[in-house]
Amino acid sequence: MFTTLVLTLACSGLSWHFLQRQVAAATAALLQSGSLLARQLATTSRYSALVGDTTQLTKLAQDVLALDQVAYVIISTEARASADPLVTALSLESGGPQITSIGAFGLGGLVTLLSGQDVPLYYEESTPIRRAPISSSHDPSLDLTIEETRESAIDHPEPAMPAIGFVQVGLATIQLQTMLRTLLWHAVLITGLVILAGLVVMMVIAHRMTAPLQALAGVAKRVATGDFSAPLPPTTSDEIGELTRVFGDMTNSLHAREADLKELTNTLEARVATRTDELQAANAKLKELDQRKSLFVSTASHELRTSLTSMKVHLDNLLLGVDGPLTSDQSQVLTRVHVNLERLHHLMEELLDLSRIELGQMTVTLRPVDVPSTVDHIVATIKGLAGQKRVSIGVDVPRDLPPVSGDTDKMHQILTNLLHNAVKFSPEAGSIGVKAARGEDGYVTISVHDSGCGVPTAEAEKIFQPFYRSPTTPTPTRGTGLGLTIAKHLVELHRGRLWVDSQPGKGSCFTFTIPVWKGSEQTAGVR
Amino acid sequence: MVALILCLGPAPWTMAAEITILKSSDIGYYDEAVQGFRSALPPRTTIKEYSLGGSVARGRELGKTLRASPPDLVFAVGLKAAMAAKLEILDTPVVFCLVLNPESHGLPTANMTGILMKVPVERQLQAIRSLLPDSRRIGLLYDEDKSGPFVAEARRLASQQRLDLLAVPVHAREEVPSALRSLLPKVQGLWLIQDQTVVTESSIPFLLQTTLDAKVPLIAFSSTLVQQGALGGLVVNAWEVGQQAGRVTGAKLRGDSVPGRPLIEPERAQLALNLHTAEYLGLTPSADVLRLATVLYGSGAVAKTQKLDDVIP
Repeated sequence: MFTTLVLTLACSGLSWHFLQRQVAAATAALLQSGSLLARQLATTSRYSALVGDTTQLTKLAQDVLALDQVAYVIISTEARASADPLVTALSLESGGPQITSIGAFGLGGLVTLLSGQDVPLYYEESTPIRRAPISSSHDPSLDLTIEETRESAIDHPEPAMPAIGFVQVGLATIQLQTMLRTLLWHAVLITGLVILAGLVVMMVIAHRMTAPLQALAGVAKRVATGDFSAPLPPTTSDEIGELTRVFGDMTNSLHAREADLKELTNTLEARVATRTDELQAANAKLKELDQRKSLFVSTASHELRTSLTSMKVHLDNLLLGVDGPLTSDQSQVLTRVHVNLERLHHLMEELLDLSRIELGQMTVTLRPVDVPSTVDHIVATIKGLAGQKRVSIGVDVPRDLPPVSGDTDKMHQILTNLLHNAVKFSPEAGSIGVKAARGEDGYVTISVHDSGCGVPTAEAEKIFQPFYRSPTTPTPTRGTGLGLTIAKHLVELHRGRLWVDSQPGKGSCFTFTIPVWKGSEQTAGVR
Repeated sequence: MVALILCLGPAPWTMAAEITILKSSDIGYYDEAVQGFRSALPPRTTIKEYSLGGSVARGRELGKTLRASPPDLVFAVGLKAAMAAKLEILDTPVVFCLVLNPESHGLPTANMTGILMKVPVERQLQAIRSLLPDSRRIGLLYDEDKSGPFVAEARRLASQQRLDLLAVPVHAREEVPSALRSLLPKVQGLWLIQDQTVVTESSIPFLLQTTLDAKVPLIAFSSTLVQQGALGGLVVNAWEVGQQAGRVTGAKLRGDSVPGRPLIEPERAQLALNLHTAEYLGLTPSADVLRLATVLYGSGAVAKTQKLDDVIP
């Protein structure tokens, strides 16, 4: 619709412009011929007008009137205010002739012409009749006789050659209108044909452009619903054909991708099941291997501990002089051997505890345990070790704490491991604090804090793994690396929880919870 | 006296003179006069040329400048230039030309010499006799106020040429048609003199048409009128007037006294003849007239010679 409107406006504008140019050219030609006629008549009538020869003037006027485009001729010998040539357009109205504009064939005039009526328009050419210049610029005798007067000795403007009359030639526009009417009809016909042909061509072009696009849109909708079966061969070799071709390639590619995805989805579950089976098998194997490892460690530790015990008995006998007196050097050597045996024995004990825990063979017998006395006992036991590093141990345990549900030996082992760990990581002349409090959730909380190097947050869980040693641990620190692991397992056997709060450089605080004793003896174990 | 002046040719001057030319405007015959004037001067002469552009005021401004630094001589061409020289240049010699009626404008003054534009009466009568050898009664229209002395002298000299001069006075331009219509039946030829009441732009077509209709030969003073239908006449050429002014200038600068009146008659005039008009009037110019005529119309082209001899034998 818009294109049709634009085409119509463009054709109409061009036709209007063409018509205006033709009207202007035809009017100019008519006025020019009229001007020539008027000037020629003014020249030929010059002498007759000068002497008042009306017979000759009438003959000259009749000669001009014989021309088709001349409507009337006026030759006047009277002076007129304006002696310049003048062109006037006159419109014959009911009240008489009216002066109108020269280009009187506007839209209304052309519509009148198109309707078959005539426009009552005349042009009038008015030209003055002047005397012929007599003097010559090479004839001083005549020129001075005519021009040199007394007044010419002073400055005054050059007088214009006076007019002795004027000629008016009225030009009829009937022939012009006939020509314009024919031209107008031709223009209307040609414009209509051009618009019609343009519309047909535009419809054909639009159909050629929209049909492939509509087909493409239809296929795109089907592709959007997952239907890739619709073929879309390119029907043209232009940009639309190229677009269709590219769209077809894209659809084929999408189709192939979707088929791959479907196949992948179909096989995924089977692959997951297979992988799960494999993982379960690997897990079982690992568990079996772990159990064997724990069994091996347990067996080896047990055998080693038996031998160590035997060695220790014999060594004690030697040191006690049962087998005879010892020299000082022998006594010193045996003492060092004794110390190392103790350490080895302690390692074996811890390995045995760990293997028992991992094998589920560790059991606790839960009885009411008095926390203050237990803490006091362990602190007293550990004070000797702490005194070697001049580490002070402070105890803040309320005496009215209820007894907790625990295994006395395991409670001792838990506290011993935590205090050993605190002494080990405390600097010289450091301090250790032991606190206990009753929580509102039925547990008693016991915490051991030191003034050591602290534990980085990222290692807060790792330090409870067996044999784990933090990179920040001072090198002189010695130990099996099993104390915290065993303590954590033992706390969990008591249905408690052990964790660490620490800031690097500001010490660590190990806290564990033990449920309050509820009144009946229980036995618990791992696995 | 005039003959003596005519004998004076452009002789070389011992010292280079400085001459200023004042030209009334840039009309063609003013330029021709200036060219004739320059041709009569020696090459060493220093010449400055100014055009007044038709303005006397401009001429007076130039005159004041010249009065402050006066040249050896001022050559004024045309009435306005001559008037400016008259009003502003009081001591420096002035030669002027191409002024029709200098006396009417108070020209010349004591330091001025002018070349007249009117051919002497005697030579004009001789020309009439040559062109109309069989005619005796010659008519003449004139305004007593403007051409009275001229006509009086013409009456006196006409009898010597065995001519019967019938001079009819007119007092206004409007009287010319009736006077002409009454005069033409009585004469065998009409002598048109440079009378500004008789000769006007509107009367000329009438004079030409009427005399041709009446088949009365018209003897005029202008080559243009001869071309447009007059039989013939003595005409003054601007180039030669300028050259004559140059010769007078040479004489003045040499210190030779220029004898005669301060207004000098033109030395040379050309005989103009229209052969078509002659044929129309049934006249056959004599061989001598054809030989002497330097401006011929109707022979296919205008024949113009630079013949220096007087056309009247």
